Amino acid sequence: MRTIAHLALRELRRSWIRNLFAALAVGIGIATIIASDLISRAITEEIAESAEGKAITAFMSEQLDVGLTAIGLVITVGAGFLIFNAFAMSTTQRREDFGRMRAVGMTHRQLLLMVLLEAILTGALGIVFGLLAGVGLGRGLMFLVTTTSDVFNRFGEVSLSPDRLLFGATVGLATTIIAALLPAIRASRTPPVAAMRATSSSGRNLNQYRIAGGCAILLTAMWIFLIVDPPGLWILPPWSSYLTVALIALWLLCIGLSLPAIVGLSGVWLRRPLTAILRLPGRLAADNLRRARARVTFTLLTLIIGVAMIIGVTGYLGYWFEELFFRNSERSLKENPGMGFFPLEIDAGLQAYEDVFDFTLTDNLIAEVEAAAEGHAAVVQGYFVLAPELSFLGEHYFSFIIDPHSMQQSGELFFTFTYGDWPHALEITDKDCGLFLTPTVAQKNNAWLYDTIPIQTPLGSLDCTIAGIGPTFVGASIISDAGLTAFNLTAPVTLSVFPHEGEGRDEILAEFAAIADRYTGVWFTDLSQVSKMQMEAMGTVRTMMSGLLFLAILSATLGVINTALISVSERRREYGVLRAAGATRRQVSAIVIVEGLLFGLIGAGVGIVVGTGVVVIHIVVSGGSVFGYPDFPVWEVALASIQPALTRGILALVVSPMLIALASWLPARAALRGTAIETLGRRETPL
Amino acid sequence: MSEIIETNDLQKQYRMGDVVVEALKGVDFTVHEGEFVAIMGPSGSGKSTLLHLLGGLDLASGGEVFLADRRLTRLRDTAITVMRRRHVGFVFQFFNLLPTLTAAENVALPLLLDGQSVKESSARVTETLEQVNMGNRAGHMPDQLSGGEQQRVAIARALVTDPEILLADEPTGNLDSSSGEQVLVILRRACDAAGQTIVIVTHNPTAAAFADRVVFLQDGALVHEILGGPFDVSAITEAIAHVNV
Ligand SMILES: Nc1ncnc2c1ncn2[C@@H]1O[C@H](COP(=O)(O)OP(=O)(O)OP(=O)(O)O)[C@@H](O)[C@H]1O
Ligand SMILES: [Mg+2]
Repeated sequence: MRTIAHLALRELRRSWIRNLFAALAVGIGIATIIASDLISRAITEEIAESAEGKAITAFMSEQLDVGLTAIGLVITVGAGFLIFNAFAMSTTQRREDFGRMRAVGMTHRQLLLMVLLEAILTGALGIVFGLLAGVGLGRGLMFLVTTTSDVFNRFGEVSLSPDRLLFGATVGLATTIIAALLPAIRASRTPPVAAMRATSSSGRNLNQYRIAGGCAILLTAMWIFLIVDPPGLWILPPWSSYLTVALIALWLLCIGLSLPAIVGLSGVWLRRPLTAILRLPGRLAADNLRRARARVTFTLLTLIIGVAMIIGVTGYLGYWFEELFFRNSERSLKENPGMGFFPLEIDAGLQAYEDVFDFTLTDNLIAEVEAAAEGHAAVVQGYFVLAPELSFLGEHYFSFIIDPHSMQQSGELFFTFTYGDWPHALEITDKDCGLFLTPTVAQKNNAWLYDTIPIQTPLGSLDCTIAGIGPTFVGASIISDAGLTAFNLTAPVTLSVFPHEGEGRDEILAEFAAIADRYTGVWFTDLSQVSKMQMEAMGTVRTMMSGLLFLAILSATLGVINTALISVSERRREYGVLRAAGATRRQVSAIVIVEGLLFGLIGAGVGIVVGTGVVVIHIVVSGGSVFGYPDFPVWEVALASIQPALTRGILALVVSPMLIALASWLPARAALRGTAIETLGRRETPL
Repeated sequence: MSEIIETNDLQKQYRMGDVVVEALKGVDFTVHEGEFVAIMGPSGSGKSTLLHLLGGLDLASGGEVFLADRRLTRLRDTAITVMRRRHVGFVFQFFNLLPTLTAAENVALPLLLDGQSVKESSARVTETLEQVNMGNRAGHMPDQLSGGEQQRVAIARALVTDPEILLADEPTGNLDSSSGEQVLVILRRACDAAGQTIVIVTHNPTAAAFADRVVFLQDGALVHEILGGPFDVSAITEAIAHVNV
């Protein structure tokens, strides 16, 4: 055991730079988990004092929480893959060492123990770094947001939750251990002599081309289906999610399985032009694509995952925030611009919620507004409640209680029918409690149009019938006025007024503004202003997610640098042989750089294809089904959403080749510094 | 005959912290054009170190190396490299081949590095591979070859540029006696027919017997030499016994 620990420590010391990078990558994954938790809890806690306040702010924090958790998860999974990759690669590259150790009598168990120890020590370092970075990042992002955002200008003070810390640490350690152990187990199973033989199986693997061919046919069929009959036009939740997941899995699996063939074919195709342009370095780089299997696969996978993650998250954010979320409200506000009375200064952002305890409008005000509106405008009283069954996202997304008759007169801001119609809906709501829901919420309750579902209220269970399905304002469910008594509500939180067509909008506005002026604690604002604030809020959510995405980019970069470092340290013998055979330092450097550029281009290229495919499949399959938009222009939206992502992708196409080339060239330069014999023989490098 | 290799007071020290290993302690060594010289000596006596310095693969700690009238110790690295590429073939004791290149590509390497195209080089590569009896294994990867076969490919690579000087560190170390003899015959022929200068390091008296001259190295210094080869093997073993006394 002492010997094993000694060997493990020696290895860590010998390759300290690479291990440091691996630890940093682990740390970043953990930091993401912790930061997203801190941020989303900071919003509601200690800000909103009253029930209504909580109901309204919870809607924002719920978005943030669901969004950050989802993005955080994607990034954690991505980072996990990257960590896995880096470890797997370095363990694979040590096969020869393992073979020697086994040859001199190290048992399987001793070998695995050694690798395990190394992984635990690296993981532990990563965890410490991740905890510090996570707290720093969370607080940093919040600070950035409070100083720049008009909405999220006040956050609560939250402390770290031990659960999350434990979760983060476990995820980090588990990933590290699995990533290190799996390849070590494989290596320890190969007979020592086979392990010691240099690994560079050549020859064309016919099977891999057969698999790639099958995959190409399958994927072609899938895209034809998506183009001819986009499921987003007819599918409903939860099938939209299932089909999305299934097709994305097919996409990823097929590309993953075809990767060897893609790489092999690029090697074959690029050999001639590269040789013609770059002579020997070009030729060697093209050949290495096909022959240095392990190294190429790991380097490319790291890049592909990194780039695909960036493209995927960016594209998804564009889809959700620009195309989906405000689609209805933007359109209907343009058609029928309303105005609203609020018990707090909406423009002041979260700060406004801090000192307000009564979130309702007084009877006097309501009476006065209704009298003034008589014949000129529709008035909608809006109540906010939390009904977990009807929550659009998570458990704490607010629902409205609105009188359907006033809603009908107000235009399409609150609700539009995709399934059902007003006559049937009003028939239901005049008798009983009726609901207007998005397909997502309906399916969440396993119910559909005209089904009845029980809602838990302070006065017990209330049976409500689904009177309409379609897009609602920001996805919130709408309960008919029968819910008022059940939820014990006496006064509304908002009054929205929608001038009838042809009425003098400016005069009405002035009249209402004058009424609002006479009441303290009442603000009167254009509803498009509210919508703008919502969008601002969403923008902030997006900023935070981009902040997390930055982490993903960072961890991808670390992963890429890591694989480049590993390959160089593994290849110094090769450089030495090249030097001995008469290659100048400049020639060896050229080989290293050309290869880096080539790997970078292919990796980023495939990454862009993968990421774009994921986003497009998601949009085309899911369409507007979450909100129930009729006639959602799936392909148009898909192309629009992917554009900002593609800009980043092109950036990646430029940056990653340079990054890999640089990350390979710097250590290669150090390796080449001495004489050829020193390059061949020097083992004591920190890589 | 003119001198093609000459060293003056050649020294090499390896410093590892406080410990200094004196691998070469002032070696004066001369090789004439077209000569076949074998270097013998116990393990650790500095044979490989000497050969590396002759080939400009390593830097001397002191003294001079002249190669074809050029003072290696004064040349810049690129000049040494180009010189090595064109005038010197080198065969290592270990690690000779690039694992990702086929046998033929490994052999072609010096030509390609010198700017030839694959087409231009292929005839010469085939010829050289056949010379070492590896013509039928041209497309194989190094890990599909035995140690001795790899060594023969390495020798072909050293010969492919038709260098004036061939330096080989234990070229027969991994070979059975018959293929070892094949290699030595190849080297001997290169020397006799093409006038190439050959320096090999070997522990094997049979191999040393092929040389025109055998020099003995001990503790980093030349201690003995015998002239007038090719020799009888018994002459070599006698000389070894003499040195060891
Ligand atoms: N890179 C190095 N660092 C430190 N010492 C070295 C290094 N290379 C060689 N030496 C030492 O220099 C001495 C001569 O080594 P060299 O390799 O020339 O021996 P050799 O005669 O070729 O031995 P062998 O017959 O075993 O190959 C040895 O004592 C060796 O330990
Ligand atoms: Mg030696």
